[in-house]
Amino acid sequence: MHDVIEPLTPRELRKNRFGLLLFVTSQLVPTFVLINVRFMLADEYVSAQADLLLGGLLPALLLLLGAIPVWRAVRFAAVGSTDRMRRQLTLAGIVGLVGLVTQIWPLIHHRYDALTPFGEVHLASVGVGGFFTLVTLILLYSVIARAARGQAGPEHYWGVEATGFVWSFNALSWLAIYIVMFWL
Amino acid sequence: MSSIATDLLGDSPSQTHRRPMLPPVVRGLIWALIAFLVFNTLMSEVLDRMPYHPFVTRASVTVGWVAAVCAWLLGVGVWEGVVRPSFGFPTLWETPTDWRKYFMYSTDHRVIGLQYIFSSIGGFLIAGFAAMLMRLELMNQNLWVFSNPGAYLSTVGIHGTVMMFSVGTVGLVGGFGNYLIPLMVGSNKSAFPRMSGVSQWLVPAGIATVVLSPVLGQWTTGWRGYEPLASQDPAGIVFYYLGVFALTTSSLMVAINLTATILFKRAPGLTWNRIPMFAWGMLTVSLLNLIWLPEIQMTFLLGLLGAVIPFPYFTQVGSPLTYLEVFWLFGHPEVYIVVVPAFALWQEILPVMGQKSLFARQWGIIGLVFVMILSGMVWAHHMFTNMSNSQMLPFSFFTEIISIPTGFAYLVVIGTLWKARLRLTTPTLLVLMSMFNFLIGGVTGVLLADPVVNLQVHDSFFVVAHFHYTIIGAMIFSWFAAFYYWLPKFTGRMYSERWGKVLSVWIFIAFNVAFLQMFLLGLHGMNRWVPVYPAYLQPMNFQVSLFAILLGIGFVLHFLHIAWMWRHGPRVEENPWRSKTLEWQATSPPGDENFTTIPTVVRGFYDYSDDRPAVSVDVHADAPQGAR
Amino acid sequence: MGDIVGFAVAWIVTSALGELAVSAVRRGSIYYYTASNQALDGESAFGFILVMLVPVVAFIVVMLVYNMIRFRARGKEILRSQAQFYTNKVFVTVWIAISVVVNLLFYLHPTASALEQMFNGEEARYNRQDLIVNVTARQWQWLFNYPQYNITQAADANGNSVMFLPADRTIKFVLRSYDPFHTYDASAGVIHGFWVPAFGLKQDIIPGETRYLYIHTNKITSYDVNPMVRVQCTEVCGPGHPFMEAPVHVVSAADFQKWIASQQKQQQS
Repeated sequence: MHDVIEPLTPRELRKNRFGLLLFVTSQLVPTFVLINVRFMLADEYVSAQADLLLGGLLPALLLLLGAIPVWRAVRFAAVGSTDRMRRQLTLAGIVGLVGLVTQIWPLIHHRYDALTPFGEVHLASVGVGGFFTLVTLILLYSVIARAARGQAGPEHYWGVEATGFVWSFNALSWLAIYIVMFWL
Repeated sequence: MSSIATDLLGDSPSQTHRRPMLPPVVRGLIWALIAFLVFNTLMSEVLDRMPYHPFVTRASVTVGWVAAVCAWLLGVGVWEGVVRPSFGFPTLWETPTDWRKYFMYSTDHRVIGLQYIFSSIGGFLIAGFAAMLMRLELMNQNLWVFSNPGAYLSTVGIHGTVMMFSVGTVGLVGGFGNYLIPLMVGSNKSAFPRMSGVSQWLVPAGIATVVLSPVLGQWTTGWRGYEPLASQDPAGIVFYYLGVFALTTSSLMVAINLTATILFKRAPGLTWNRIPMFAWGMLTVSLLNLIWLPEIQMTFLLGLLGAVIPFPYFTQVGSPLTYLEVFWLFGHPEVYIVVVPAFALWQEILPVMGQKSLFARQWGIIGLVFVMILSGMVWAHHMFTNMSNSQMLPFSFFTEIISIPTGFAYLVVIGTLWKARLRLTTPTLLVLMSMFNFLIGGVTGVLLADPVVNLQVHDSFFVVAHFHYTIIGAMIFSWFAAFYYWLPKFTGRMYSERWGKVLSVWIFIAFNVAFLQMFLLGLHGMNRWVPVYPAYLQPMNFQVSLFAILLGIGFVLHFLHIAWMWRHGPRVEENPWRSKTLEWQATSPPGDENFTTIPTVVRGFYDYSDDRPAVSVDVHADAPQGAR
Repeated sequence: MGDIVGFAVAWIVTSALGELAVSAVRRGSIYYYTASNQALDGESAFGFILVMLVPVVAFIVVMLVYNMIRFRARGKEILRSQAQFYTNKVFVTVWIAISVVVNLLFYLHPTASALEQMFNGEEARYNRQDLIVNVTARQWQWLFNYPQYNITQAADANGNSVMFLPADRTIKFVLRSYDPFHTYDASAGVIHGFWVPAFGLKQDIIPGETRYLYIHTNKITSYDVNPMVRVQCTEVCGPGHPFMEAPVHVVSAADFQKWIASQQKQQQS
């Protein structure tokens, strides 16, 4: 038996948006902390071991790129073209997976040095970015799974929109970390 | 994490019968054990083999713990309640109506509230037992209860951590907040019930983690888990970081839920001007939680990485002071997270008990809000002993200034009590005691805010006494006031007024005699974190311990009294205090739904100048008018 | 009106009693035992705040007790209070004005004034004749080094660290945290706290940094006279934290020279 999910009232939609906004805002704080701690520990030093491409530019580009299909999916969800929405979400999922790999790769291939804190701030940032990407992908997958079972569409619009917000938040916060860690 | 966002879909109660399963808590424990073994083995034997391949390494225990907590959550019902529906599977989950509902995942805010209350009582008793052990040790200037100082320091750490993160932050917010806020704003459920159901079960997991930390090894840092000392500690510190992570995540979810509930679930007519004082307290506290809990989580994550990998961020080669700075940036708002609900509670209970309109209500709210804002600007007063001179003045300034908005809570109460008809019930008594205690805590706070004085008394027992006055004295006393005040709401039964008063006077005397002497001990040269101290301090320590143990017994007796009356107290009318606030307009205890008809609020809750109710309909009857 | 008078009388009486008690305590010693000018300064700041706060505390305590007794409900019946008011502009204004003024006062004196005095005391130009004591904190031991006298590690006959200081002299403590016996271990340094209770100031010692603390000793005393004359670690630094203490002896200039000579001799042997 499938649950009958009642469509949200406008007030509930606003409530959900507000709740997500609170969540996203509070999750911006760790990024601030990371950036500040970075300046306290390593000043403006960029570790020679930090990979400019992997764990740097590539995930930033991929996550930004992935925001396009996600938001297209949100638009399709609003008008009820479920199939096109699913295609866009799957596309975003693939882009996100590649992004996740580019964030995890430098963590695996790194010689950990217990005597210097400098390059390690950068590594922690990549790890945090990877964690948030993972969360975003799980969320994305849950929406895809629900869509596959016919539980997406205009009346289930919020789940897709939430994914859009979380994805954008993740992309932007990684962009901020990336710029600060490599360019400032 | 995914559950937070997917919950935003709203809950969909659907109960179909399914094949019988283990009791959820048992299933959660078994799943957690299996998950821990699997992931720990995977890490320590396959992915990250160490020299001499020990079975449990710091990395493996971390990964195993994360898996175990996830499995525990899934096992208590998150699997059926959240994960399956999030992925589009049907919900096959039967919610029992008897006592068993308290031992599983739930979406009912009242069940969740009581679960939180029981969890934090559990934390309070465990951490209180640790405090008793510490005081027993300090009765003698030599080691006699503990065999080594490290064991004593681990106990100090467990006491502080469990008290702060599972009682101070949780008792009034996760417990009473979850139960009462939807009732107080006239709603039948909270904003994000599924998220709330998940968050509660992180609390027992977090408490258990911190309490079990000595299994991995001693940790000597106290509740701050501070670096660089923590980086030297044996592996127990790993469970400190992980346990606190679970507890703070729980409080973070509560904060999101309560804020959204207060803003979006209000009954018609409940305008901003009419939001109850307790709800204001919850709102300000939740905002503090939303900002500062993620901040400390990130810091603890860096500390954890330092312990596991290791990343030497905060050791001698890194920046040793950075950890303390980032910690206290959170740490001071944290103490306001603990005490602001108590302020709100005073202003909630006393107008009812005095049957007199709340005095200068807007100043009470301004006080709560400004305490919230200023609390982020005072943190460095914890570090006068290790900061540069130029930083002292601004932080000293803000620390002294924060006493102004704090004083507004007193302003409101004093104005309300003047010419009131104050019933000297147990909650009244406890609130007044709590105000006295916080006054002592505040006055010694002014002394501590002065750097020259601070440099003498900081890190001594003077500070220990000071913050116990603000936390036990204000928050715990108010917590007990809340228990007595809302016991008829929870159960429809009344406690014994005589026993309530006798026990309240008991804990008041024991508390003050014990902790006033601690101020003197501090001035006399008793430093913190020592199980062994010079002999000249022994007589006074002996007396402190004696009264501290009496205080502990008093707390236990209070709980026994409340527990007994929960079952056997005399039945009372539904609104025994004649309160006008919304939670008392529902039945006591509330039925299946808080309000069969959502009430319409027509005037403020704190006006006792006449007998007119604050809501327009009798909320018990199925009257058609007033429905949304 | 009668209630206001009744309250005012109770408040004034309580405040007066409180002030009497505070002045009695100030005639004694708030800090129990002091042996430096800095401790006296701190003690007077402490006392000043207490004197100012007594009426404030008395106001609130008397208010709570007075309200509790005078305005208590009599009888079982729950009745609304006769008096109902929502605010009182005069009371609120006076309350806020007083709390602002008292806080600003405390900020100016003793906070800013005493701090300025402390900062001035740390200015190098006042401190040319200082006795320099290098204090090294290791886990878990205090090491005292007198560079002006070439004493690398002051110790008593048993080899335990001991500190001797001349009376009526400014001492410059140079505080460092590292382990001189294990310099290769980068993670050995933790935060310690340098505190002599009788000197009235403390300073945390941060690994990798050098901190200073200035004390002007003002009497001849020692650990044997009062146990508050001891160096005590105040920041938890591991299991050995409680044992990190060392006796201090403040002696006359002549005795100090004698002690220096004996230490130099001990060091050569």
